Amino acid sequence: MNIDREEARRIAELARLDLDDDALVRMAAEMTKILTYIDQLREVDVEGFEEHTAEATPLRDDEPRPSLDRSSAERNAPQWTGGFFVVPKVIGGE
Amino acid sequence: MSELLALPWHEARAEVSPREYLDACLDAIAARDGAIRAFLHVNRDAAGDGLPIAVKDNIVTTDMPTTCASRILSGFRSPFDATVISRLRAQNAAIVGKTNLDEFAMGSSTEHSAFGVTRNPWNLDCVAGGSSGGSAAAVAARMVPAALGSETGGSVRQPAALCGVVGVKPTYGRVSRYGLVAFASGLDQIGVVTKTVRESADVLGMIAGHDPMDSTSSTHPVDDYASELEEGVRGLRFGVVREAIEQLTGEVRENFDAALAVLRGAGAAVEEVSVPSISYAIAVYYIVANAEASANLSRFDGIRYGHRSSSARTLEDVYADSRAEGFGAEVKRRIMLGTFALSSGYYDAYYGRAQRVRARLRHDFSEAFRKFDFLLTPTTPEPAFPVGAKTGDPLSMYLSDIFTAPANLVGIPAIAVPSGFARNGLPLSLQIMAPHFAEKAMFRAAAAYERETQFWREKR
Amino acid sequence: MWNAVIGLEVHARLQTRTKIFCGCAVSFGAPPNTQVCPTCLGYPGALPVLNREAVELAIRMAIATGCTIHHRSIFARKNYFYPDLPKGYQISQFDEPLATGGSVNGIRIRRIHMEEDAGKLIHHGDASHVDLNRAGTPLIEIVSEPDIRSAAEADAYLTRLRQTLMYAGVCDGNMEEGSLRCDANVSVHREGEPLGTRTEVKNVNSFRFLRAAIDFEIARQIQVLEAGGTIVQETRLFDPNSGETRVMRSKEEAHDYRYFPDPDLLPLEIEEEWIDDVRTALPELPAARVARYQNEHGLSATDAEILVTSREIAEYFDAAAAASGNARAAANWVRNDVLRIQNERGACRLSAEGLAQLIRLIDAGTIGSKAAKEIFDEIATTGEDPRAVVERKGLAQVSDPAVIREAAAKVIERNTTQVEQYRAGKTQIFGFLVGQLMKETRGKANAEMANAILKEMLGG
Repeated sequence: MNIDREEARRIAELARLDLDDDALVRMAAEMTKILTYIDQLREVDVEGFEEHTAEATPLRDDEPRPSLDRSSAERNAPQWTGGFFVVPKVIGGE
Repeated sequence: MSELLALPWHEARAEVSPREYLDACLDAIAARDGAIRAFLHVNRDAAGDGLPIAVKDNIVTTDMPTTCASRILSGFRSPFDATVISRLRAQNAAIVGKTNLDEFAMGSSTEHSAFGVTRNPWNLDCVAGGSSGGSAAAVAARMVPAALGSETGGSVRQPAALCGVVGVKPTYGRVSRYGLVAFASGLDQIGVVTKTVRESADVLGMIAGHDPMDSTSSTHPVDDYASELEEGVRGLRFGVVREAIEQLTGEVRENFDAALAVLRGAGAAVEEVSVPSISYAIAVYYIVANAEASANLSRFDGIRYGHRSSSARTLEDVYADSRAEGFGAEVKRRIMLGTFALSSGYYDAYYGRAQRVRARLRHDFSEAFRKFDFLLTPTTPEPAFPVGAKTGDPLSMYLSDIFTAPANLVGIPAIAVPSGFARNGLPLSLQIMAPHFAEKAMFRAAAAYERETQFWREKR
Repeated sequence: MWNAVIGLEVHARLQTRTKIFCGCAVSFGAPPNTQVCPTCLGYPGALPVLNREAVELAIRMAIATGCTIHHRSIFARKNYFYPDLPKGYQISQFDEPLATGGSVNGIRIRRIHMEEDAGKLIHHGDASHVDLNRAGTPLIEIVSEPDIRSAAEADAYLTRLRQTLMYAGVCDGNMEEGSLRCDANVSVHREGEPLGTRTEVKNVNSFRFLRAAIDFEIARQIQVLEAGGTIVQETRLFDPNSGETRVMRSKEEAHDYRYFPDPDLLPLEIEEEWIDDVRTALPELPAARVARYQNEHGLSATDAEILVTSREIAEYFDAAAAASGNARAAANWVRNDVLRIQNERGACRLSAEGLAQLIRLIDAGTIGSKAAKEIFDEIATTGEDPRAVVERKGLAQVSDPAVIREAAAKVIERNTTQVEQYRAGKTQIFGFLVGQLMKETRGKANAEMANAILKEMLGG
């Protein structure tokens, strides 16, 4: 599998990683090498094999548990005001 | 005092008070860690009459920072203790410090820590292995009797092997992951590093068991892991994984053959067995683990904790710059690989396919365990390598996990036990794998081998 | 001739006490970031554990809409970055949802799946403020097939869907508070031609806005196409001030969500027994009631719909109808008076039993309809038993024919002129004479009876 700089740029964008052109080129080369190794998986016969867990997810009672004291969230927050986490204005909206 | 730390913990405990023993650990850390750098944080005020223990810095603690050896978590203080920490504290353990690791547990040498590399106590020019290099080195240098690490592809067993100590990966789901900073959720397990098998069995017993806070944790009953240590291996069946040893040469091969001879001498039946898809394990691992990691690391975004880029003006800057500045090169590489493997158009060919090969691998292991009680390989293809030797070639670094990763993919328990030394004086290691939840039998086999060989007693 | 093709995606907040994956309380109006914990904050090391009640409610709605419930469904991570999404992924369901294949009002339901809500983003000048209290609230997403053909049909579908959610105790249906959110997918095509490109209109959060947005979008698309243009697949936002939809973002930049099964959660297994228990406990749902009211009570479809507006009203009606033995009367009173009082004052304090009493009083001839209407407002406020009010106010009608005859005789005696005029053929003067009779009995004569007796005695 060959990864070129543009593909690396697309993936970096998806992953929210700011990589400059040199870094993208290096990353593309490294990924190509690794993915080429991984491409040997194509030759494996996987007919009839599906990853399947026998177990089921446990279920929790709908009982309230104490929430965190807000000071914990505040202490770790890079930017905080009046009880809120603060980010630069979101443009466009979701 | 240093003689004290050379003894197994239950023997040393009989000789001195808990306080004296704890002080001996703290003194050893102060004396030796300068050169080794196993610790990122030491708690000189650690207290507790129970086991002094070090904890890999990707396990959250309320009383010490948790960095995951990453700049992106600078300043972070967890508001909760990992379940294993709570359990240890409840049993009076003294948590003496947080140990160094490859950033976010991604690596096989601890060279990818943002805070410096941990050196191998046997040779300071060589790596301690990874990602739990700090934990392995701390035990190998006799600074603490035990340390917790984490396993995703071999990250407890491999450094334990390179440092000449015992490393245990429990069955997936055996130990709670609540509070273990996630790398690959379907593979991660907290593991144990100690000098001897007995100590590992004791420590695993302290932390194992169901946790309602972890949906993947198992309700399978916890055995008394140390109860069969004296039973020996007479009549037990060991399968040597053919595909693993096919390419083995030189002293690693000789050392491995010698280990087989010891087991035979103790009455075990030892034969070759084929696990055909094992040679694909690394490829499967590096897709599955990185895919899960790419999602698990999305939460590090500079908004609720950790590093936020000071030059960020827009929201997009906050994300992209904080993450670019905060994550090291290896982490970025893995996030990129994982994101790619899940992305539209590639999911089926990469993540989808890798999971199916994984199912096949599970099947091959099941088949092997029909005829054998345990499976054997060397823990690593080579002893500790010099610092810097592999950092230029990520793929060659990944291949260090070639014998360890299969157990993580299949979920079975595995243990690394010291098996001797290479001609250059660096440790070598034998790996014993067992079926799901067969830790008790696994410790029995490892103890038998250890009893015959006693490599843990060797001094540097 | 243009046809519109519309599908609705509805997000409904489940009425649980706690969030879907953690034990934080779901309550409204709490100070920001006080109903949070490591799991819903997306802290390192935190893990999700599924809320049983959330599953129960999801099952309820699936049964109520005639869906097939899948015994095994899978939670998947939907990966994207947004400040109100702490983990950088939303835990949702993708390939294997909880339920598929139901219908409401003849509109097919494609699927119902479970997922967690995001937090809230509040704009504040140059910045946005993030409150994660809402993050992790349990939701079900109900996706219809594009079977809807008009805004009116969409309104009817959403009305019934909302009623069903509320009847089943699954969601409180409060659109102003965001308990119920709706997105519409709209396309148009000429009769006989292939389907057009669709646009998505987001967050249309009242019935009025929904109709307006759909009507606008249909008109807009027709206008574009008739002018020779093409429809771009994009997301649009309805602006209630202008009554128009405008572009939010183009779907070309659509997210690659990189869905994969969440390894922190195992598959959700729902046994047949659970489904049966839920089905048994379901109350009679609106659609079934509407049919029954028409068949059993002969009510019109319109009246039946009004009575099923809420479960509360429907059950009130059922109780009043049963206790009074006069469903038609009960229907009229509920529709015209009980609902009026509820709208005017917020509550009607007359119990169903009380209403039944009122109806029985009328049916027995004890009071006339006029008197009943007079006291209704009072008993609707006080909740007093109407029999007591009638007694207290002396409103009981005279329904004894002998008493009426006696009064009528007096009236005839006193009004000989008018009586002669009536007997001579001036029939309209009857009204005057009836009036006199009512006066004579101080308004208490049973009007029907008074009419009949007077007529008879006048010989007409």
